[in-house]
Amino acid sequence: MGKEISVDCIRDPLGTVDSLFNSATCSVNSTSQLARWDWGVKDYFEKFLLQQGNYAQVPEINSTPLSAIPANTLVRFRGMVQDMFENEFYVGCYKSGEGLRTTKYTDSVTPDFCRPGRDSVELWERRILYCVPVPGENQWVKEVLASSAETGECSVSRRSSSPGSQAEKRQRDEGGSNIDMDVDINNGSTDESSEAKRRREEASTSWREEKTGWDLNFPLGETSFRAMPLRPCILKVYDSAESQIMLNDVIEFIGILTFDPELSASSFVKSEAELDSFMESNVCSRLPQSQVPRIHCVTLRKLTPNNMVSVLPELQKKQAEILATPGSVKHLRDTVLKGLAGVLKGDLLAAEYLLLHLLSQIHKRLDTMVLGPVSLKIVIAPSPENSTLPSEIAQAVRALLPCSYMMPLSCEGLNKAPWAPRKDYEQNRLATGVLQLAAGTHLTVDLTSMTEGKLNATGVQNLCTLKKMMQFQTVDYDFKYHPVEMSTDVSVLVTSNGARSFLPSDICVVHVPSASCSSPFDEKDLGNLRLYLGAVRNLAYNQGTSLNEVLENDLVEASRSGGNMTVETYHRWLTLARLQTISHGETELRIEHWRKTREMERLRMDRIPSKGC
Amino acid sequence: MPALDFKADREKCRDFLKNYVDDHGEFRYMNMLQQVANRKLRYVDIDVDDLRGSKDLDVSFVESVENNTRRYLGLFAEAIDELLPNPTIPLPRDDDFEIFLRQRMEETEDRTENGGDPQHRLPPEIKRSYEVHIKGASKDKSRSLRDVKASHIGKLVKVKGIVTRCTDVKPLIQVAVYTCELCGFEIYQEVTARTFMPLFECPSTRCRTNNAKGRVSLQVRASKFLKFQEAKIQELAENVPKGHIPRTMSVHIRGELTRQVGPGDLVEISGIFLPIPYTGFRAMRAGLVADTYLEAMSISHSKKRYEEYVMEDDEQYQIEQLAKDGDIYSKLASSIAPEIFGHEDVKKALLLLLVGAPTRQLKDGMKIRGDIHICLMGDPGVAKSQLLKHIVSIAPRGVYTTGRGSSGVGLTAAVTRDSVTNEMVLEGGALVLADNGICAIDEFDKMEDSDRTAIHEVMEQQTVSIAKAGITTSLNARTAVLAAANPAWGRYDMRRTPAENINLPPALLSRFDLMWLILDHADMDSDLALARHVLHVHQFSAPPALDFTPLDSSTLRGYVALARRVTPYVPQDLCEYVASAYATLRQEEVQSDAPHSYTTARTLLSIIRISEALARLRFSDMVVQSDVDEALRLMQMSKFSLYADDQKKKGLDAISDIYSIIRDEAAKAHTLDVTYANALNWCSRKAYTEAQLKECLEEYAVLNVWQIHPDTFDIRFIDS
Repeated sequence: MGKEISVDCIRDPLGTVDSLFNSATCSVNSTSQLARWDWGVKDYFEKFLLQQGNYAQVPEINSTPLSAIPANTLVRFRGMVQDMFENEFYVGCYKSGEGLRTTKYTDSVTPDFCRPGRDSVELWERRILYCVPVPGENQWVKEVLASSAETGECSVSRRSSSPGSQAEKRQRDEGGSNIDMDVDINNGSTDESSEAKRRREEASTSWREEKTGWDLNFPLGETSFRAMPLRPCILKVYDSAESQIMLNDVIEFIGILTFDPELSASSFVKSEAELDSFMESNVCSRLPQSQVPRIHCVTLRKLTPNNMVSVLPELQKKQAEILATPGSVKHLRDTVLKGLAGVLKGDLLAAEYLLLHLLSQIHKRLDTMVLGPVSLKIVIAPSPENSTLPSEIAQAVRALLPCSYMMPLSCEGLNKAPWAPRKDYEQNRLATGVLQLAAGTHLTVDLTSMTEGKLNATGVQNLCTLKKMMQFQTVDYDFKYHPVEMSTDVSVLVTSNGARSFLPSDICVVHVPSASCSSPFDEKDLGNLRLYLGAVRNLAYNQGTSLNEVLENDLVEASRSGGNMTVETYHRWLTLARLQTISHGETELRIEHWRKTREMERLRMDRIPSKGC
Repeated sequence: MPALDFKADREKCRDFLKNYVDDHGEFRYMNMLQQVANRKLRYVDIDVDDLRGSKDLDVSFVESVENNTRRYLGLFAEAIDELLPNPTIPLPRDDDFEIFLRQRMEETEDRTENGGDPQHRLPPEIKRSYEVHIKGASKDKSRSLRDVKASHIGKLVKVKGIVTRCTDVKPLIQVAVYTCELCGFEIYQEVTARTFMPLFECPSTRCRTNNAKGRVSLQVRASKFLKFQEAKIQELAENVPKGHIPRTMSVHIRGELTRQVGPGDLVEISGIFLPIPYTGFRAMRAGLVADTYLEAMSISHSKKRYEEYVMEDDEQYQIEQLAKDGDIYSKLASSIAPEIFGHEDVKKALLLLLVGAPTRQLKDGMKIRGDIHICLMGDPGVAKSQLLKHIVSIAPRGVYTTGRGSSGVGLTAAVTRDSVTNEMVLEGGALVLADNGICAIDEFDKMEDSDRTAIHEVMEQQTVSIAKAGITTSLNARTAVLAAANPAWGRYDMRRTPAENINLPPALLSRFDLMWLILDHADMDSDLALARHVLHVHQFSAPPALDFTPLDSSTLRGYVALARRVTPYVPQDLCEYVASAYATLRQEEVQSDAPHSYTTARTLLSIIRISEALARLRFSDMVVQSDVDEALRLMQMSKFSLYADDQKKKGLDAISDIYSIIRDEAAKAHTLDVTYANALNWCSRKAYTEAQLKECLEEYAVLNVWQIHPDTFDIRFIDS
């Protein structure tokens, strides 16, 4: 690269972008060529973030007060793609004085910006995504991912005189390279540094807290973290293939937080009244910035429930250690089992099933059939001492899995609002519903709280949607003129008082408390248990052909003697055997695991009172 | 960029309009202009096809028309102004527009003589009584909204979508006309955007030189307004990649194109993709971000129906090749839900349901339906629901609903009060929505009886009658009903009679052309096959490779669409055959103590319908005997799993049964000679295979009951 690039990627990322852009303009001869690539911005930032400690310094939107983050600085945001707005066309670059300037990665322009003539407009395109904080994301995930940000927060909020000089010092000690970060860019031209200053001045525009009547579309309602309400964000994504980002993906974005004074809420309320609101399609510009920050994404990575906890390098290392150490998997498996049994009042069989259930996820979709998910129903005897059991189970799940949600079912809840997301043509947005969940979310549906009542049309529809999701792992989003089928991967646990209920489940376990009660989870074990669950879920399973004969004979034998055998039973057994295998940290089916599965199934069937479920 | 020579291009436009001769040897555009001059036509549609076809124009001109359409619209309009002939018929003289125009023309002439003021120049817009549209080439494929990118701005694009919202038609000012209080002149202001800044001071030379600030007032009657409507279209479901949200686009519709669309319409619009020019306070932002819209040039409605299924050339060829293949019937059938194991005959029946028979209207107005209704009844876990879903996905118009979720009203139609307008509106239910398609109703047995009766009318008369809230009407519901039900006690109970098991009223049952019983018999072979299948799925995360390559669903759809265009008839000599077959069926039912079916006059119609559908599959317009035999065989097969059991009870094996069939038939005909073809027909009607027949022939030949011709296998009974 021809020119020195400003080092302060975090505090003045736009400066970096400008330098990269300027060196790119030198190497091309027409402006249209500039539209084709990102001038190395993504690579540059990715390389920068990989360097020691840089990642941690980038503040995370939802664990830092918004007021502490100046505009036009680098931020992190973790969210689920809730809606996709229309692509935005923007003037990619324009002439300012002698040189070219770009408006990529920003909303604001320099004062000398003059409207280019109509014919010379170079329009570029960017994707606009509306992302909400991951629904059902458990507090511990937030803690794990936020704590690393805390140190970063200090370095950025130095100006706002926050405490934490200690952390800052430690960082300075860590390496000389970091010192450069604090030095203002002096090697650039004076023009450039004043530019940076201007940007920061703009940053002082306060984030006024305004309560407007906007529905922020949180699928599970608004939540807070460290006493701060969680915020959704509008992400502007550049140069990404359309197929790369899908609806309901969980993604960590790193980008530039912008604040456009033109767009501040007050000026907008006024303008709204003037304009014919009917065709005003651009929701993006209507949502107040104070509540929905705008981020211009420079790089992103996809998160899944399996890698969510292990994205941090140190945890990843730890996880690899666990898998490599002989015996540790077995130990952890026993610990989880003991803990789950403790929650389930000593019922080991139910605990075993619960563990397998927690490990289940979709591994293959074949047309209408889905392989992998196992929905579990735990039948709890209706008695006062059992009344808190469903919520205790949900509590345990919450402590183990990154994303989970407990939904007590009631007539009012069912009748209130549709659960499946639907398109709101008035606002041109996708109105969310409870069942818009990221892949890998765990859902506990509590039927024990259900009372008699009457369902209206919405209620019936909601039950159908839930049932469909449990059976086929798809949710039909209501687009009024036609439904759009979206795939989900949500494992559902049902707690009910009777074996027969209106929600179909793959497996139904009758809860039998036992006298020998073990204690529930120990707080200090949890970290490792989470890593264990994430690790074994990731294992690549391979069901060899060596056991085929045994399995075939077993299946045929069972159908001859048992009678009530269907294709579903076959699938269930093989899926359970798979889960059993990976729960031991192994990847190939062994006959012991198959026998164990059959034995578990036998014990389970024995518990079910005469009529099957 | 080289400066474009628009003047030369205008000449080209003019020459094109003047000289273009269409296929019929007529001056298409000059004729159009004549009509415009006669005030008969209010628009001029310029077809890109014609531009391309014109010999005088080079490719680059057509390209620039398509890439810079807005500009060329203006050029064409100017060219038309020049070319516009005099009216050939007397025009009504009392038209406001005419009077204004005449007056203005006179005035302007005056003024130009006096050295004129450019401010008084009459804008060409106000003189025009027509609109110019440039229609996209019909051969160009329409894009999905997703593919319209920044690079298409300013270009002519063709998109397909569903209209989600549209505004009322509103007047949009095109030329604002003012009169000055001081100088008395008319001032014209052309408006190109949606908003404009009205004038307050007279800009004429006279007022300016006198430095008199002449106040102007807007003349509403003299100004030119345009009908204007905005609509939103949304991407079609099939164009949306998985995991994405359908995109939307604003469409501006002007003038004669307004009032053509309503919410829910499937439309194909060609138009110019343009950025919205901002004015006023948003101009600053507008410099950075541009909203876009589509300026509609032509709108056509598209309906997804078999009859209008447009096929591409290679697709048509492919299908015709397929039709030549002798075994197309079973090949198509096995391509329905290929991942569902077995059930060949059920799939055949479903294929026939897709194809259907032609609906016939008799002279006295009575209609005989052509849609084939099928009910699948069977034990749980025999993949009924999957079959239903798959069929719905193949059919161009398919609605899937479950009996439990829908009441009779939900299936037929309901009258509701619109929350916004407070008017009564009719809302079609699943059956109405599936008009000209297929309605799949799962869990048919779990429906309320009263709801189920609502279907009676739909199934035979194919209409839905409404008499509610002052609205009496009947809606078309020409739909093929595909129902799935469980037996009365969840599983089929062999100890009870079929009627008890099926537990649907005869009135309803008789309306189904085929009532298919799928029982889940436990037998070693099928269990093993199933176990292998499931194991394979889990081992390789994929279903085992099929021993044939199924046709993809678009080919299947195309084949069915082509087949549906055929209208076969039953030849005279075959009627006798059908009649006797029907009589036999009736006879058998009387003899049987526990009938599995209700054979009524409707059954006769069913046989004909199924035969006709089979003829359609062969693209033949004549039903032949083998079609009728196959129809009868399917009817027989549908109860096969029951009969198989009955026979076990009776102790009759297949071989002796075949013998008794042949003997009875021969006795009926008073003959000792039976041709092999006849024997095969009789047997297949009773759902026996050819192999079984041959076995029977050999066995009884050994017993010296009959003689078999060594080459033709014809049978001759040995007279005893």
